[in-house]
Amino acid sequence: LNSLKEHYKLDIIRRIDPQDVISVYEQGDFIDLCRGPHVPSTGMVGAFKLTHIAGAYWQGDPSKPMLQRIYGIAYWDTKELEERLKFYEEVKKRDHRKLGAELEMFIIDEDIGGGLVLWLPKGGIYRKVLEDFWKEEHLKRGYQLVYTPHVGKAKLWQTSGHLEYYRQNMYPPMEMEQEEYFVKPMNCPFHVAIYKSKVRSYKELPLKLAELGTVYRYELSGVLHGLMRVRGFTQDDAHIICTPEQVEDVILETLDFAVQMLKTFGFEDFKVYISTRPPLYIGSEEQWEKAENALKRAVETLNLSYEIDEGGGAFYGPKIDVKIKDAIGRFWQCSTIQFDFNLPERFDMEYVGPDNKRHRPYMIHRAIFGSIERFTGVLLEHYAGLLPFWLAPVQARVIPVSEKHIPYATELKNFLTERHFRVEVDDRKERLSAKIRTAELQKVPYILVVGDRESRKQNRLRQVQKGRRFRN
Amino acid sequence: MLRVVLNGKEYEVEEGKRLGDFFKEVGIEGALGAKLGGKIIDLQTPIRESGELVPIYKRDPESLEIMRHSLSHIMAQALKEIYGKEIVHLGVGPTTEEGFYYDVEVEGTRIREEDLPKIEQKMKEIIERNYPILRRELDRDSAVRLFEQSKGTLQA
Repeated sequence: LNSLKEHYKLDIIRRIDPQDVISVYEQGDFIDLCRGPHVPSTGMVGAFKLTHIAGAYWQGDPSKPMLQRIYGIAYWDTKELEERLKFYEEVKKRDHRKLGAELEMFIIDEDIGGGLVLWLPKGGIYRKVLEDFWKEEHLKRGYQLVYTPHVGKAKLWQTSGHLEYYRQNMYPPMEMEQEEYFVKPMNCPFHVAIYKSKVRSYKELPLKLAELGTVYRYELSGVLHGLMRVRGFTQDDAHIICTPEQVEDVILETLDFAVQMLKTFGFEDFKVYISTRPPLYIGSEEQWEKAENALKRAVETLNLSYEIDEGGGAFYGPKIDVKIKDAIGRFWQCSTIQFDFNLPERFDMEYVGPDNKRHRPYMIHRAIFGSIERFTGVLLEHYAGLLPFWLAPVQARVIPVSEKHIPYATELKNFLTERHFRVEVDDRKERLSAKIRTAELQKVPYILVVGDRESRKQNRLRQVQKGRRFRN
Repeated sequence: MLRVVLNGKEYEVEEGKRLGDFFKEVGIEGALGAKLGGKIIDLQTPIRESGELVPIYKRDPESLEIMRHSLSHIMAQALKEIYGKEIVHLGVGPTTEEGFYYDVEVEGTRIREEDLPKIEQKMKEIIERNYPILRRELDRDSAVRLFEQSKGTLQA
């Protein structure tokens, strides 16, 4: 008995409803418990390829044995299969986890924790450039930068509703002086507190508070994935607080800003989704209508094609999601513009209107990148690691042909560094070809090889400055 | 009697008639299965509910699901032939968006990616053998006995 030891199959049989039909499929001397459907014979299948193996717990339960999951791809047509395989090959090549390691941009250290990213120096300088740009663009558009703490008292999260609705995504509380604190999963309550730090007049609105705010959210360890799915990440967050009359202009401006920013990074193709009022909602119908109309008008004004996810909005407000298309045709969720009819009520946010009376403002959350981590993952995959010149951690690497050219190479590096380029010298005792190979692997946009001719000539640096020798 | 609608026409079908037999009677050729009540059934599956019956041909995307499902069985069979029937234990083998997988446990062996070509080769052999794929229905006790017994073939 039990010598076939198909105990997993027996496990399934025991869980089948006694009313249900149990069926098996047999081919040759092989028989399997199966509901179907199947083709009539083994000769009638299409083209296939086994692709990879992963581990999978029985029934997805980590306390049960781990099986090996063998994956295959299949299409009727060999040509179609080959195209898909080529696509996956490309996906593999562009895997940001692999590129992140090759470019020495980030690592995830299991001793620190899954989903918690360490930015290495190359990632650090890239991130500085990205964040500086982000801040400059926000300041230009009248945003005000704020910084807020990583933890806040339980009472704050009680008022905001996070403890009631979002607790399963939050890290457990910590206690200090008989007071419970939580690590923030969102920045909003802090920005609300900043808004409420004084009486606000309509003249101050729209108030646009922006922060690169690092938040922590619990995710199952099984779903963590490089920079794309993490437990700690930095949102490029902003909260816009405005009067009802300003809603339309604010939304248009916010969406335009998002699209302009994404275009700067080389994305041209967008998919926009508007999610509208679900069956259970808070706020008035009038508020929802006003907000939804503003969202629709903004996408139409900017000539973006969009889809409406009818009833797909969160209970506290409608939103716009922007997905960007990458170089191999995949779409990635990035920007979100989300109305919130909840927090202004919960925190009793007000402004004094021209009538000298107190009014409830509209509040909008928005992120352009979504998060720095995820957007970086998308950029790396989109560019297959070859980041645009302005974002590249190392913009040029000077490679001396031999040891005697190192002084000149260093001089050139210093010259360029003073002019705010990010330049390195490869002075390892390696062959020239090996050095070029390393620079290529690390996707350095410019490789400057210097030898006798360059070192000998006077005023070479001046020529570099004039761009004469600055060949691509 | 069940009532099914096929290409806009209504038919009376006796419960339990296999889809393939019904298709033969009404002159539907080349279909691999059908959609019925939100599910895909193959030609050997008995019709057990009334509703609209939409034939699935090779040109329909649903046909891929049928074929991929069979490939997961062919892979399982290949593994049993390579590693031995009694040490390969099968979990579940569903289809995915572009293919299929099977969760397996091979006693004392860890299958590596280098082994995949060998498994593919065996799968191709099984495809060439062109075994009929036969569906049988059974009660719970016989099913339990079947997956406990040593040969793994159905005793008539």
